[in-house]
Amino acid sequence: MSKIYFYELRRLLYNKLFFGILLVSLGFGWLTLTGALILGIAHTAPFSPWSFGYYLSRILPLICLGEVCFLAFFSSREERLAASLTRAAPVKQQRYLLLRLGAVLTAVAFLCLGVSVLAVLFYRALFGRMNLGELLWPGLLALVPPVIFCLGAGLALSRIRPVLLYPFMAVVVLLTALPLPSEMSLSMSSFYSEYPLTLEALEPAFQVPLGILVSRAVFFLLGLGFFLHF
Amino acid sequence: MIGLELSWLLRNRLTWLAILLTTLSPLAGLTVYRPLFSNSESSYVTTMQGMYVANPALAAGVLGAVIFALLTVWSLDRIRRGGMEALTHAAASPLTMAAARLGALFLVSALAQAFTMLAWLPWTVSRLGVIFDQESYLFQYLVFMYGSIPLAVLFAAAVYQMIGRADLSLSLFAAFATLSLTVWRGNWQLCWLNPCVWTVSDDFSNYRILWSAAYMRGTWLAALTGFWMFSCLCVRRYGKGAIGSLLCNIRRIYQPLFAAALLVCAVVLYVGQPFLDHSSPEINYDFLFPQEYLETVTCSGRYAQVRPDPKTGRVYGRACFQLHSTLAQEQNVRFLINPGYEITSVQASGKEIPFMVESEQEMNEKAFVVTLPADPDMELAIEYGGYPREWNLASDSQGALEISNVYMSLENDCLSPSPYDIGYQGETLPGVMDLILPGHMTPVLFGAGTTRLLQENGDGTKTWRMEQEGYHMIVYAGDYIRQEIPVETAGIIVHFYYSRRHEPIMEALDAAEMVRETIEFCTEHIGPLSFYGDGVFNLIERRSDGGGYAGDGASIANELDFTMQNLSNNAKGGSFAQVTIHELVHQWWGLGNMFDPMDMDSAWSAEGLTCYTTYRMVKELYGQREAKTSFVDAWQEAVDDYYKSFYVRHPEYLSALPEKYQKQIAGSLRWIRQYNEMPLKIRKAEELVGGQEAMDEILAGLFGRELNPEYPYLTYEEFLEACHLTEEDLNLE
Amino acid sequence: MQIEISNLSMTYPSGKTALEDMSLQMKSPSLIGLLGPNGAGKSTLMKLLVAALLPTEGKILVDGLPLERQEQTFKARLGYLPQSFGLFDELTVWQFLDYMAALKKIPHSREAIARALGRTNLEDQQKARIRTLSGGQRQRVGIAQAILGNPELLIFDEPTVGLDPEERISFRNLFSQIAQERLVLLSTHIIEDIQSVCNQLLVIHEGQIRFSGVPGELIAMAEGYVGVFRERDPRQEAGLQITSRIHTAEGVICRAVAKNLPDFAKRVEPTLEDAYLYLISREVMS
Repeated sequence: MSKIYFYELRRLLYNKLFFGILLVSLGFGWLTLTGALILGIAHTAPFSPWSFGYYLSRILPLICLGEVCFLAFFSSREERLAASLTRAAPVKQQRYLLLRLGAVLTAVAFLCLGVSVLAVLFYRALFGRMNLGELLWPGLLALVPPVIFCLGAGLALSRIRPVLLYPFMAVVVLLTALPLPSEMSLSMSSFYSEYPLTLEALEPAFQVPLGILVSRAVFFLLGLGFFLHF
Repeated sequence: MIGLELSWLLRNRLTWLAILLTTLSPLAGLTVYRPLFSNSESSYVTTMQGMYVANPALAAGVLGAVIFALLTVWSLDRIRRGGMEALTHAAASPLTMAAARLGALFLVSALAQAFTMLAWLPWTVSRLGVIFDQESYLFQYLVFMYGSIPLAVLFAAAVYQMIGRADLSLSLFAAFATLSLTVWRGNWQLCWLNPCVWTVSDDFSNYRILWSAAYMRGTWLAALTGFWMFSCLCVRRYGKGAIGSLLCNIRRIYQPLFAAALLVCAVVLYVGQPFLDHSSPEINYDFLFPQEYLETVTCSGRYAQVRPDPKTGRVYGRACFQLHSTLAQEQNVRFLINPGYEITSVQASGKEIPFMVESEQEMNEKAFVVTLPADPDMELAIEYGGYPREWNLASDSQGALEISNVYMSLENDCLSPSPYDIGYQGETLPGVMDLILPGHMTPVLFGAGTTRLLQENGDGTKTWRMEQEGYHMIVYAGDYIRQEIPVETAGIIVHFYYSRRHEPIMEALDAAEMVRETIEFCTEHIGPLSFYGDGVFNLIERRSDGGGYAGDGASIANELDFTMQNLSNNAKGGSFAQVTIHELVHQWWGLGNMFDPMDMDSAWSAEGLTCYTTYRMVKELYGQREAKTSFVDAWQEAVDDYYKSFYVRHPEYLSALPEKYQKQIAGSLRWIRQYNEMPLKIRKAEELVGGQEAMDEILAGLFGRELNPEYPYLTYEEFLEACHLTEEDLNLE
Repeated sequence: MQIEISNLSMTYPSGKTALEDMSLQMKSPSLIGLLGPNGAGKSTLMKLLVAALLPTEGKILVDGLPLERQEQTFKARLGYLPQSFGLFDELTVWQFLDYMAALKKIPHSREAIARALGRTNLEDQQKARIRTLSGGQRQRVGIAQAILGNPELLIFDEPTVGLDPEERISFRNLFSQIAQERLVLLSTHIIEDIQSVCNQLLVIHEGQIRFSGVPGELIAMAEGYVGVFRERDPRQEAGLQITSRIHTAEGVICRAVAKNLPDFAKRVEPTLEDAYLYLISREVMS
């Protein structure tokens, strides 16, 4: 079955949709790096975990939008027509779906990797060597729960009616772009830019309050729940 | 064909939903999306028109564009999904069909626009009362709101035609809109969705900012129409893909040519915009202030005749200078003028002489060099004219150089050119200007000078003669009324000029009393103003641009300080005319030879003492709590932020950054030091010297100090010395 | 392979009854032609046979076992070409077949793909992206994926749509070859195709089987009900099902089907098309 996975991934990656989103994300990432981020977020260094998290949170709407577009790609009219052939094959539909979702997740991971590498190159060029290990946890925290949530919710909606993915794109943008409390926001931009200010120390080490952890877990589990239910 | 498409669209419920949502979208401008500049930190303060017309229209522009982009992609995709294309293409050419669909979408958007404007009209009239102006309402809704919708439709349609996929088209539209809302937000020519509108005026006209926004949208319209025409070449034909269809369609050469012409037109419009100059991004004060004047040429008088054209917003004039040369040979002299103006001729005593306009522009000025003949005395006459350009570094707050039938702002070199390196022959320079204005307008000369009606012309215009010393004059013209406010304790009569339209609000706000109290406070605590010969001082309401300034014998009153909203806030004691008080205080701190104009990078500037005095004034008039919240807490917050800033703590990283970033970061930090850190230090000094009264005494001493003719400016060291403090004493950390 | 359909009914959630109490037996080797007007229930029957739909009543037994109990193993023995289908436009023909081979878990997929490409005459297009193919070529890719791995049961729903006459003839010969050892169910509107290759014919109308047997039997049923006449007055056509109208030098020669042929019509030998039309229209005529 790995062949199916690689074919599905190839279909996603060798696609103007993926390149379009990657290009726009990198462009937007560059503008974010040279605009807001270079000043440093919440008085921390531009290369601090807080700033890096903020950077990812700004690009997250595009990544999530890309993810929903990938899901839309797999529930387009053409795909539904092709499903008349694939459904006649001796493969369990759940398994087949899992493979496709795996491909979506991999494509999203490539997007995340692309914007992260851009940031790291930017940091290296301007600030020299730095500890990349400390960027891992904020990166995972910023990206994984929203990506899983969008995957699950998007999958559920596409199962109900594929057209629902389009309003869901608007919801994703609102959940990431609106100035919501960090616990409710998918992107948590305000967490990275405001929470460090409430801590005693200047340039505090990266730490996450329980509320945020719970909210991330809720997003993650909601995504997982939607996924398992549908 | 359009009719068919239109009726097809209008038969669909989603179209009506889009119209309904667009009609409701101005609501966002009243609540969540208020892009206009707020004059206050504590609450949202802008003009009434800004609050109830511009903000709703701008918000509706953003939301309407998004709604119509969705409608466009949906309607085009529906045709494709339904397999209708094969049928329609058999009946009509794909280009005709694409144009018809686009036309129908435009008509639906126009319908939505009409509904929106009609639906919001009664409510807006009721909110604005005497301020309401139907022309302003119409233009603001058309330019700020409707300007974006056809752009969104064109972009969405073009992208869809090119790639033929709804998801990708919507993603690209989202990216296009996001760019405008984020990265291009401060770039007035690129932010197609959310034009850079800083403020709109209640009392005066807003044509310039409307023209600027319309121009920006016109540029995008040309670009996107070109893009759309180009995308029509990709309309799928003969079962081919985008490129195959493009190669087939391109054979009809007029279409790609027309698309290319439109794109070129957009580039020409972009590059050749008439609103802003091309000043270099780095500020070079040497360009404005000569290190030394020419020793061989002096000027003994100047005269200008200036005719602003309210219909076109252009200014035409002839400036004459009485020059005297001690050098018996030709020599070059330099003049500065607004970069928008052209010099049409330069004559010396009636004879044409050569001149050369320099290509470099700095700080909203351009220079031209005139080669003077070898005559000892001559009258140099310069004819000039054009559309004044604003400073490109302030591109996101355009609209100040308004010249219309309602209001004119004619400041310094926008009025007439000024010599750069020619000193006065005597101690002062007599200056006379004849200004030809429409009959209903009254000119107000900023500063100490005289104005009188010279003659009424046969064409309904009036010529006003103004006399003021020096090379520069600043004139505002409009339907002004003048209120005289005697301030007996200061021995000053304030002439308060404001728009006739604002009269009931000014009276209700008791603005005169606020002015009187401010002047009394400053006179009592700092000292009497000594440089008004006739004891008259002008306070002039100007078209709002968010700030103000002060000069000899005059200060600017900010329109934003006197809104109806402030009137209602005043009843609660929560608001005050902060900017106007600040500019009035500048009469004491910042004028004459008080601060070194060349020392722009230092934290010590006119703003420190002015902010401090404004705080004291507000504390006395409105109470400790108000002063603390609006000033001390706000300063402290900004300064805390400043000290915590990564680059302040780690200057080694700042110096390692490329120069572009260094300048960007240093500029934002300097502003905080001047407006927040310094007033806080002065307040600390107040505590260290023993309180307000002791500080008043020190400031009064500094204000009335003996001037050193070599360097007449008040320095930080003098201030510290007067307080018997050291720099370290005032460290805030 | 033996498929037994008993009392099969299918009513869609919209309330539309597509099949009603249908019973049928199919056994390999055989090439069964499925005929019927649009909306008769042919595609529904095929979807039920490939387990794309579940019947509301009745059973489908494959080699004696209910289909739903052996869905996966059944699908491994199945090749299916639906009436309308999509392909992955961004893949090449070979990649798409490789994808389908992986999905169908076909061992030795390279050989299977090469064989399918050869049988569908797609060797020259194997590296072409599917989006660049013509309608006929896409149809051939559809057929190729169905015959991948030489399945025991092949179900083709309108397989020759979009093919040129030469290709059509070549494909029906291919179906005939396959049917020598397999069970092939072929639904089409092209009666000529059925007449040429099918050894069994099913006519479905309004969700029910109206005929099941060899084509000759259907032709025999229509004997005496088909005639030709020279038309003198258009009113002559009343009550007749006109199947052809030929303009000749002597006038218009009409061929008609009717339960009661008029005297002016000369009885002739029916074709399969005449017989099919007679079968479908006799209820209306009666």
